[in-house]
Amino acid sequence: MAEQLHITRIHLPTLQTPPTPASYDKHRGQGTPLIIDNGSTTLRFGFCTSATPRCQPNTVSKYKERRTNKPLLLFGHGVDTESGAKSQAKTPWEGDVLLNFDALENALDYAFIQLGIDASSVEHPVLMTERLCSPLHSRGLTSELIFEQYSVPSLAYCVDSVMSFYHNNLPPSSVPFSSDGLVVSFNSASTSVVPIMQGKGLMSHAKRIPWGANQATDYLLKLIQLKYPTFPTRVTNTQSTWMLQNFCEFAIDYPTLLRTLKDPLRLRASERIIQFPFMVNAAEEKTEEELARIAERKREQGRMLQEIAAKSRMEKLLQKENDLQYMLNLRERRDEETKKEWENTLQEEGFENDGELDSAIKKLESDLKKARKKEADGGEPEDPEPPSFPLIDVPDADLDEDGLREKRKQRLMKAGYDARERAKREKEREREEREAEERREEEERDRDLTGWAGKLRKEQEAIMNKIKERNRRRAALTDRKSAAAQARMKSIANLAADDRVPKKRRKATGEDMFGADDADWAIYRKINTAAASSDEEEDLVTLQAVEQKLLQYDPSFTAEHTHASLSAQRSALLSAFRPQYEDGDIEGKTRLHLNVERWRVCEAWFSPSMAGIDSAGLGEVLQGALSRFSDQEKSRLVKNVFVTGGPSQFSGLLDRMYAALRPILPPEMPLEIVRAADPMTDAWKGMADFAKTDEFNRVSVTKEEYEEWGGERIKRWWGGNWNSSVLVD
Amino acid sequence: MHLPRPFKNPNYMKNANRRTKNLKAVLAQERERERVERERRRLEKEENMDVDGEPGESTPDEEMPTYASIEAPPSVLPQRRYCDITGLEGPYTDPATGLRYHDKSVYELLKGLSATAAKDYLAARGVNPIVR
Repeated sequence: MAEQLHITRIHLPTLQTPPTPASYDKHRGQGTPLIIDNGSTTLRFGFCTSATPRCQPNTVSKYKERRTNKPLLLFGHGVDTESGAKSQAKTPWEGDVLLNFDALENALDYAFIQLGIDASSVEHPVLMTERLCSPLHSRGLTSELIFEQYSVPSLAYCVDSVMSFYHNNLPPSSVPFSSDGLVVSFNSASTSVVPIMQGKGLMSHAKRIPWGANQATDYLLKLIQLKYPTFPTRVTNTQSTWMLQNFCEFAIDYPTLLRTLKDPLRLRASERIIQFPFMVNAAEEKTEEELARIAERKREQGRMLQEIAAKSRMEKLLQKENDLQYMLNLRERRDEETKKEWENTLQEEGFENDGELDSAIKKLESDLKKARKKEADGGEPEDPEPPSFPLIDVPDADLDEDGLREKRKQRLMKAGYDARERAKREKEREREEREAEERREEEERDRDLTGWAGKLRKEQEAIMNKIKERNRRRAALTDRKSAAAQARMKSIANLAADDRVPKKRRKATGEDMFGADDADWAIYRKINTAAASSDEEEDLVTLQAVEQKLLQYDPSFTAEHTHASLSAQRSALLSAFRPQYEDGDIEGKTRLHLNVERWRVCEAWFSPSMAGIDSAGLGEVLQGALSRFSDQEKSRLVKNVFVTGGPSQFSGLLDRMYAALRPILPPEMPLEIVRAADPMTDAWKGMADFAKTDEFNRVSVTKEEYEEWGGERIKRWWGGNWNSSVLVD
Repeated sequence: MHLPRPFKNPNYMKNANRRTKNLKAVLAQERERERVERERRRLEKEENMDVDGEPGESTPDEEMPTYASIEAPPSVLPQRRYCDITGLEGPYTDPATGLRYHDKSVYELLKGLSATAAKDYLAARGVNPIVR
């Protein structure tokens, strides 16, 4: 099956081995520039002479080990090794703003340890990234940390996306950087657009959209949670990120895509299934043999119980027989003993007189007879002939007192007997009627199957309509303002109103005719919202009977025409959107089906309002940014639209941006969109390139300047921020 | 990461207020700063006008961007409507919950939703319904 191909198991995170610190020997005392790309997800750092940076997730976790009770400080991948540490993890960033300076300090410590720095201070000029138009609070405290904590000789800030652009448009050495382009940077918590003219970032024309990879992850997670409210395992943020990276893409034309996805078959074809780990409940599945064994054991138990009961019955019988024998013997002795002795004997045995003994014997005898009979045929003894009541027809005058009493008794018994007989006859007749009905129906069916089926179907439909109508009414009654609810209130008011008929007149004329017609009582049924249940059950029973018959005889009536399956049916669209699995299918229950979401999440970059963020989308922002330039400048910019950052790797982005930009530009204007060679680390590489040039020293703030200006002021240059900057040249 | 950290300045005292500020305070401070800056620049401009009688040339050529000012503006394009349940096009709105839906079959499902579920769907779109 084609769909089976799209099942992907959720990945299990692999633990990374912690990297070992590098040797510091090569850089000791050299003053090699140190490059730190402080990204909100990943911290990349290294000396500018190395080809690639060291990368670690930018998270810190202070955590107390349970076993050794030792406080641990973990950074980067190390956080993932301890589940307890993961919940304590902190990042230096809060959304888009650098805010948590304890974590930043830990991150910088880690970076310097990894680089093997063992001198008494960090004697390297530092080039660090900061957010586009970073709040000065963040910059001031970062500078303070760098200069005072680590005693760095000089520090420069840059904007990561511009440096990524620089790396991808690297001028030959000794030629100043003078490329034009429109940089679109996809960050973790935001997306920004920076136009670059003549190799100079125009920060005044930059724009930022508060939507980034983190928001997209959250959005995807929320959509999944809404789609699967009862999913057995918790879907974590990491898993959601993984799904976003692997299954989501930009749609070139989202509305058109949605129109094609409207077709349930295409929706099914576009889906990706994610299989979460699951446990098969082994206890539930029993083999045929086991089932047979259990049944056998049950039968065995039943038999044993029966045997025990029979045995006790036998014992009782035996006891009774013995008793009887004893009493018979006793009676026989009566003749042998004298009267006095006999009375004594009787007293000893607990009898008052002869009569009592006789009745006891009689009772025992009848008991025994009954028990034996029961044993013999196992059933109730049934009197085949009707009992006779001989005394009833005898006139009272002919009877003495006892006879009269007996006659009364017999009369009662006769009445009871007659009633039973009548009921039996009634039943008989009913059965006959039913049989006749069935016969008639059968004849009708044999004669005209289609007509019969049509009739039954009509009946079924009528009942289903009745049920539907009732459901609708019930739904309407929950709404206070619906017509049904209003009508009900009116009836109640009418019933409660005393002045329907004035009391006096009512008394005088006996005017109140309520109840004269049986239909009057239906009003109570009508105003009672809960009472319909008995009717409902009745309807369901008849419905079932009708459906049974139809199923049995009408070949065109199949199981899917029954009320149950009709009401349980979901539309093809919804079942394609979220396929349902059988109740016991644990594998199926731990699957996520992603279909519309795969494009829906990425579309939010172009219209954040979808996810509730009141901001213009990427297309609109690009248009706005470009509209501030003249046509000639515009053409220089759009010739080199440059995308960088993690989310820019999603497939379909370049095409989508082309589709968004092309219509807003003059047709003859060339449009070129390129992605960074390595969207993740190109910013760091660009910074390393830049740090090797002489210009780096010119734009750096030295420690003396820091002491004079404070931490917020920087020098204005082409790759740095403008806010609170001074022009140097 | 429990290796020695010799490179740290032992005399450095942590800036006491670095922990106290939350995101909101930082952004408010930033806005305040921008407002003051704008005020200052306006005054400067006026002074220049007083002197020269024409707009001063000494003002920086471009407006200074700040964290708040580069924020993308709200969208002015007409918003598309999508089904809150399926994500497909959603031309209809349920008057009871305010949820948008794609077609009849989605509406059937929507009628069976609990009030909290409906609220969650709305919240995903950023709409917080008014409690009636």
